[in-house]
Amino acid sequence: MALIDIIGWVGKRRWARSVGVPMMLAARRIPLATMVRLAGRRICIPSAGYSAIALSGTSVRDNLCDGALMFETLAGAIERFGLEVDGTASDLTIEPGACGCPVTMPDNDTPYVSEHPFSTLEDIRALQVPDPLADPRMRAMTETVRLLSKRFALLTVAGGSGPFTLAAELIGASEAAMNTVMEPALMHELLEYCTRVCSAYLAAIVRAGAEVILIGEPTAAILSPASYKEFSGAYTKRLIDSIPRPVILHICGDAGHLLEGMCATGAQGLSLDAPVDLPSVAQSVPRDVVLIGNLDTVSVLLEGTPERVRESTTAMLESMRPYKNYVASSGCDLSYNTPVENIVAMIETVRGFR
Amino acid sequence: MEDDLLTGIKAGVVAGRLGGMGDMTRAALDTGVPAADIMSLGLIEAMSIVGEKFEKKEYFVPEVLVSARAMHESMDVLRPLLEASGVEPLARVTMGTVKGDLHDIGKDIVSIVLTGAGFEVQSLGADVPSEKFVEAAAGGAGVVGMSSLLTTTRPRMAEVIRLLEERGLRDGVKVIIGGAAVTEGFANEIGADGYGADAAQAVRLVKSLLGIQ
Repeated sequence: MALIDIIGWVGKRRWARSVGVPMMLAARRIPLATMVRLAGRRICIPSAGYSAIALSGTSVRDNLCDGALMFETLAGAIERFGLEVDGTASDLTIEPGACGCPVTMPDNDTPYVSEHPFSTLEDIRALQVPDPLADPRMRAMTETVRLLSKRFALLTVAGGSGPFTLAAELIGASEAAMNTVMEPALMHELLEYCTRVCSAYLAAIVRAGAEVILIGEPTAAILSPASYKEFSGAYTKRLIDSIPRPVILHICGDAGHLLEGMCATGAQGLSLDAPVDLPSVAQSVPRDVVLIGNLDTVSVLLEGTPERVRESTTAMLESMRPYKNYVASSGCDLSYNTPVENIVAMIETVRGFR
Repeated sequence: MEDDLLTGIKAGVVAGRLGGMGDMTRAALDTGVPAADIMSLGLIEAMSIVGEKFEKKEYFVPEVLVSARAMHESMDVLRPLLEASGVEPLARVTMGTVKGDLHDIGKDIVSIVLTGAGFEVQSLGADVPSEKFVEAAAGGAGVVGMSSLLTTTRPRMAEVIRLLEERGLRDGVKVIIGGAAVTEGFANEIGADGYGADAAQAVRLVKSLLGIQ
């Protein structure tokens, strides 16, 4: 039995909390890469928050608005899939919503920011940093984290938006992109604000008990390597420096060109999406940075059969065999409609891989 | 002189120089450069260079969007003249992101690169009701392009194809799809004419579907 299996077994049992809690407190002092290396086998983080909601029979909207319900949903999935790491469902509309963007929340679909009401320097200067204890959806998420860490002695992974992604929601993604060229001073002022918002929110998540913070910075994928460093990486680094926990930085899509800049943020883990060829970038990632990815969420996990998932997962694990700093995962959040048997096939293949 | 002005317009679009493109375009027109030449030798050639730079990763989304905005400054001056002269584009392509999905950028980049390849692109924006795509096909679009970044919104693409069939419009239009939520397999499954993984592929796809070299 690998160490990670023991941690997973102890962490899920209420009566073993007297052992599990000190284990997690000790884990806080260990760098992420060391934890991964000591695990004894590959760890699998499936990013299955939305699938967990589908399994629960409750609606996406209710889960994202009600911390206790989201906890019940995730707890069900942790038991069902036998996970060793408990993560929340990611929701990158929380911060923009708290800052004043209207958010549309369909019953069973990913919520989205439906308007980007800020555009001028005056608009940006009038923005207030939301109080995570006062905003209802920030409170719901911190409540989920609090309940998870109270119930399970597992690594609780939770997080939020990166600064550039939040900025793009506030003023619109195309505007944010163009302003990096046309109005850099405005962008920097906006990003200063966004970094303060992210920092305050993530501090609340840490206080609620998260062991690992996940920063989602998907919109940064559209930037050049130099712009990434200037408009995302520099602010992400400051954000990470303010967080007393290991941070995983996730960028969706083809972010291979940003790898060097991502490494410079001080993130202990980099999570990359399916378009990035992991084995070819793995060599340029320092060994003390964990590389996380990247089974295709659409063509394999959503559209494939369990057999196809097993084949692709095995191929991914084989290709990453030389790298001890690797954690198996889906490239991005799993779709709400992902077949449960495919998620099980991925997790079991990783668990059985030696 | 005329050549200098055309070169200047082209360079201005490639470099994304905003604010003066309208004046440069009017100056070129005043010296007798035909609007159609400014369009094809200035703007389209410039956007084609921008598309190449994007494919070679010399340009990224921000640079492409700024170049496109510079092109539009010039286009705003040319449009009334081109409409009056009846110059025909290679074909008309209608692009949009399906209902329920607000992701704009990918589809915009495809639109820009298609413009650079000489197509007239009508943008329907994001969160587009299926009916709008059907209206565009009825209005004479040769190609309907749909984007989806959310797997929960991609069934809308099948809906559009079904509506096109019901209205008897399907045979007269090519349907292409793209976006992170879709695959070649999904395109086949719903009966689309093709799938493009990126902007360059989308242009090749449109050209091959329409039999354009």
